[in-house]
Amino acid sequence: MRAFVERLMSRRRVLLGCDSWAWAFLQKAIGIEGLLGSPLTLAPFDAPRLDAWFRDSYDSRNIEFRQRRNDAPVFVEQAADSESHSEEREPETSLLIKSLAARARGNLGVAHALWRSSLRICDPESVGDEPAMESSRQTLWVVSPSDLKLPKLANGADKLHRFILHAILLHAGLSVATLDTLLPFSREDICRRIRELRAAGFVNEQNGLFRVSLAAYPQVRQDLCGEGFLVDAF
Amino acid sequence: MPDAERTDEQINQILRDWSEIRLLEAVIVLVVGVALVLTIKWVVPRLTERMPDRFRLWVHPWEPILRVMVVLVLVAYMIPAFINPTPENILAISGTLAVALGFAFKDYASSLIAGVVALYERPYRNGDWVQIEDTYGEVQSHDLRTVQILTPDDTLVAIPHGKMWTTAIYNGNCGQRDLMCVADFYLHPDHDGILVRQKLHDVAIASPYLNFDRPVIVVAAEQPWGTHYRLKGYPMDGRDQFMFITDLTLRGKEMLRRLGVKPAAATTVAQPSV
Repeated sequence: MRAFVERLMSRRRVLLGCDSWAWAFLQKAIGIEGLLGSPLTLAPFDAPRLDAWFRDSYDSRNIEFRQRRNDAPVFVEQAADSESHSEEREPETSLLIKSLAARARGNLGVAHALWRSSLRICDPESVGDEPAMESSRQTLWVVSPSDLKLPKLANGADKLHRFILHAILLHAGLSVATLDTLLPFSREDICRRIRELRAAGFVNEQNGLFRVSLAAYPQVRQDLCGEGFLVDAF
Repeated sequence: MPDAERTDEQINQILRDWSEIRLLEAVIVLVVGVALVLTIKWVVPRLTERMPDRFRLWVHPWEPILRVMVVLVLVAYMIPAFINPTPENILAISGTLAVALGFAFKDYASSLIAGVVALYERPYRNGDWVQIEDTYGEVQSHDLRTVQILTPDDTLVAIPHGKMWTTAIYNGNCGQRDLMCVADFYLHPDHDGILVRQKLHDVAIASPYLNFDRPVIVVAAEQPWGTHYRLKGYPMDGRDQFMFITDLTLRGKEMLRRLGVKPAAATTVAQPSV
């Protein structure tokens, strides 16, 4: 890695793409920002951006989103005079979208995964079981991110679970064989923990690589940060 | 005979009259106090084992302090319940106690006092990794007379607090969660020292146990038999210190083997004649 960075430094212009977790590791390991400069990243998807992105993604003529607790609309109708001041004022966003943006830490993929897991076709608190239809529009209820059921390991998380999740995040996905090489634990222990993490919904497998699932990412990051692991800055 | 009568009278003046003593209430308070002390001693360590590691070292040291507070309240209640708390009586009793403790229970009293001093000075607290004389381990509990240390070989050692008057106490973490660990490497002197230092540093930062908020240091010293490297780093949790050192040692050995660096030869070195 050091040789690679030295080769990059010898060139005049280089565009280097790097995962935020790997960047955090390289910063601690070799002080990469001192060698290559501060990284640039996209602005986080805060509540107004997230609101606009969801509005564009769904056809509001056919689907209506309502908050499960208070039946209020998820996407707030903008005031009529807002157009004249649209450049100065930020569009109004619901508390649910704000909460979603905060929980996802501005990460669009995470926000989308949380959004998908919070959609309900019927309101469990309402009397009828039938999906509500209002004229030609279908109503979907959205659970607040704070009410979502979090993934949980049957026997609680131990250190090995955390070491595996951390290694997976630092490398943006790892196979069992690579985990076996990286971590000082037996292959049996690693396989067992991976099975438990997968069953609980913390990781998913794609082409032999295990990755932290998007919906569990905020919880995993918070837990690792609390336990003193190196975490990314984003 | 008049002397004996006077002594009886003096004792009667010190102790309350039986009719004044609320014996049932005193017994209930005593039982409740002892139960509270035992409960604290049982519950707090188990509670700290169940909570996240980062909170363990905040909560666990409070256990002996809470117990001493309960004992003090108990004593403060019990003494006036049985004794007329006049200045003369207090002086007389403390004088008697001082003589008794000074002669018969000198070491015991010394350890009790040292235990209270240790709560204030905190040379060790629950959860610390300490070395007292030949014993190294984690402080499990801080009792009135002794400190209980659990060694890495799973042996519980009780050391009287009185040791702190005369013995150096080495505390590895002083209430912090992490502590410095050192992995030693003994190499043949003929090698590229700069490269070895960098590679040993890389071995440390690749360890999953490493606390990245603390520095990694490689120290080298030339010895008559070769070069002695000391790789120093902090694991995130002091309880992982032996796993961390093992990881550093094994990965370090593997890396040195790949580099072709030979270990120091274990040969006898001739001592210079005096």
